[in-house]
Amino acid sequence: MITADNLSLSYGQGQTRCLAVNAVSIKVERGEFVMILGPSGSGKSSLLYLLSGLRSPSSGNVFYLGRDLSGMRASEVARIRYECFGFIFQQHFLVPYLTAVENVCMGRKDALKYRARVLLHQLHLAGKEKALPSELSYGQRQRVAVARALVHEPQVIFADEPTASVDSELAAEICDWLRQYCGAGHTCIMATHDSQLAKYASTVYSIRDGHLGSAT
Amino acid sequence: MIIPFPGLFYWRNRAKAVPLFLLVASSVLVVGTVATLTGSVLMSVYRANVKPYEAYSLVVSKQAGIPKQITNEIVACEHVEEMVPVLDSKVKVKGLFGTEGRTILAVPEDRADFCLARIGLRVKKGRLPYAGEDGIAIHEEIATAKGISIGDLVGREVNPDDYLWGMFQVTGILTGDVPYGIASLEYFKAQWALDTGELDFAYLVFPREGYRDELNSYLAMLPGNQVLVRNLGTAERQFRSESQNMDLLLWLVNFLVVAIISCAMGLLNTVHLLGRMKEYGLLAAIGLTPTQLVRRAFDEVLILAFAGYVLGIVASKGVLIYIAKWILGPRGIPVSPMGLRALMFSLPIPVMLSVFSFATIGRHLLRLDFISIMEGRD
Ligand SMILES: Nc1ncnc2c1ncn2[C@@H]1O[C@H](COP(=O)(O)OP(=O)(O)OP(=O)(O)O)[C@@H](O)[C@H]1O
Ligand SMILES: [Mg+2]
Repeated sequence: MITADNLSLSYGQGQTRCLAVNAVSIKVERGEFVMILGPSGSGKSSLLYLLSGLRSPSSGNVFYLGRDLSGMRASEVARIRYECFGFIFQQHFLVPYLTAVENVCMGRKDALKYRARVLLHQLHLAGKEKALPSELSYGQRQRVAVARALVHEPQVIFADEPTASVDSELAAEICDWLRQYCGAGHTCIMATHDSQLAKYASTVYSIRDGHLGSAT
Repeated sequence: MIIPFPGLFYWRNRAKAVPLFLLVASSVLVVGTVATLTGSVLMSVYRANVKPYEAYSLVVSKQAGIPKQITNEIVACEHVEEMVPVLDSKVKVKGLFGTEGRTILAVPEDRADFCLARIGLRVKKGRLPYAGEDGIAIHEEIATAKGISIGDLVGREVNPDDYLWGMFQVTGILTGDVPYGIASLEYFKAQWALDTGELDFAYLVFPREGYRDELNSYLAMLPGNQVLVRNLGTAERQFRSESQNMDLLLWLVNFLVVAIISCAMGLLNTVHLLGRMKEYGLLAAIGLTPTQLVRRAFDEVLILAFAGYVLGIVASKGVLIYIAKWILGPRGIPVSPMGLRALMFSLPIPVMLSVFSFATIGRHLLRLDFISIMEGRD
């Protein structure tokens, strides 16, 4: 489904140059739940940005369904992101003046509101549909961000520390949830520093200083 | 429709949107109202000085009366329906920006009804003056402006500003498009300082229906050292050269004011938009293209600017109705309905506001590094 070939990403130039992702190759199949495990600063977020086409690599290629993302026009990549990918950001930014349902449907057609309500219900946010982000707890906001990534039923979900600010019970639930989503023929790539969650994944990679370890 | 709907930000953040919205509306209100009032002044000058020449052309002697042979030439013209001997004078009325002259025509009693009908006037109250009577029928706007009515006196002996020589009693009130007064030629002639003997001093020449241009070309061939011809063309030219200066000044002032306020408002709006960069960054990350983002931002600016514009125009309309009814109407100053002119003068406000906001925000949106923005590195 997604293949990366010798991916590298460096930030800055000269003295301050920093290689956040270093020659990473990875192959993710349909239905897989891939977890990328690593400490803070190891390059997890950066790798997810590359795989999802949010950033262009300094070198190497990313293929989605056999098509090279770096060979496409920016608008084509944007279209793939819009239709096929869902992203849970580490900082789950919600738009302050929009309600929970509207935040879930952000950038999408009005008609998805029904599905957004169902998702919020499943994520134990029933009754909070009309709440503004300022009226939600940190963990509740995180769950709204999860729903936002799922609302259009993407082929691939990229989840950057989706469990960072929720209790372990809810963390387990979110992972369970993502695992079910993969079971239904979708794909999930999740970054986390919490090795406890590794049991939910079908494949686990460790990452350290931009180097990806082998799959376990 | 894609969420969030354009304009939702302003709707939900009314505390931010309302000042901007009201600023647009109030500038449109001021500019629209001023434009309409100045337009009204131009309109009333047009009605008084140009419109009558749609009905007739005026031939005036440059010497002591129009020679018989020229009179015969005019009568011989096939395009002439009627030729009416006339003397004219003026009274002064207060306009919006200073005093304006209003013409009084002195015509023979037996031709007065014809002239009135052709100029588009009718007697509303009272009657026209009799032959040789020191009476005058004046348009209702002149009457209101001077605060006089039937039975009151008018003329230089009453008000030294009026050219109208002597003292006349108002016998009737006229209504219609042209703010004129009608007096008796027989009386005027008796008072006239210049003795023209048998000759007439001036003529109103009424063309046959549809032959105004032909008549005017004919009259243009009369000897220029003997008579002066004033027609629709000359009246319009004079009106235009006078009104052009006023319009130019107005455009200049308007342009400066509009440029300043719309840049200030554009800046305020840009601050709002820049405060929402994370929102735009998120939309970009989700997969909206820069062009889509730019469209969204533009829609939002347009909605705000034109909602303010519409409110401003409606408010201006209200203010003008009020001014017409309670302030200028009672003083005999007609206010034209708000028209294209007000829209034209005030349209630059929302347009420039939009362009300014958009020029600043559009640049940012097209070069958006959305990951950096979302991670808070910007
Ligand atoms: N925009 C940037 N400019 C410069 N350096 C950056 C930038 N983004 C990331 N880095 C650096 O790249 C390295 C990897 O960062 P990244 O955010 O991918 O790590 P991470 O594994 O997601 O860490 P965390 O668990 O704390 O989120 C870090 O050393 C970081 O300092
Ligand atoms: Mg990270």
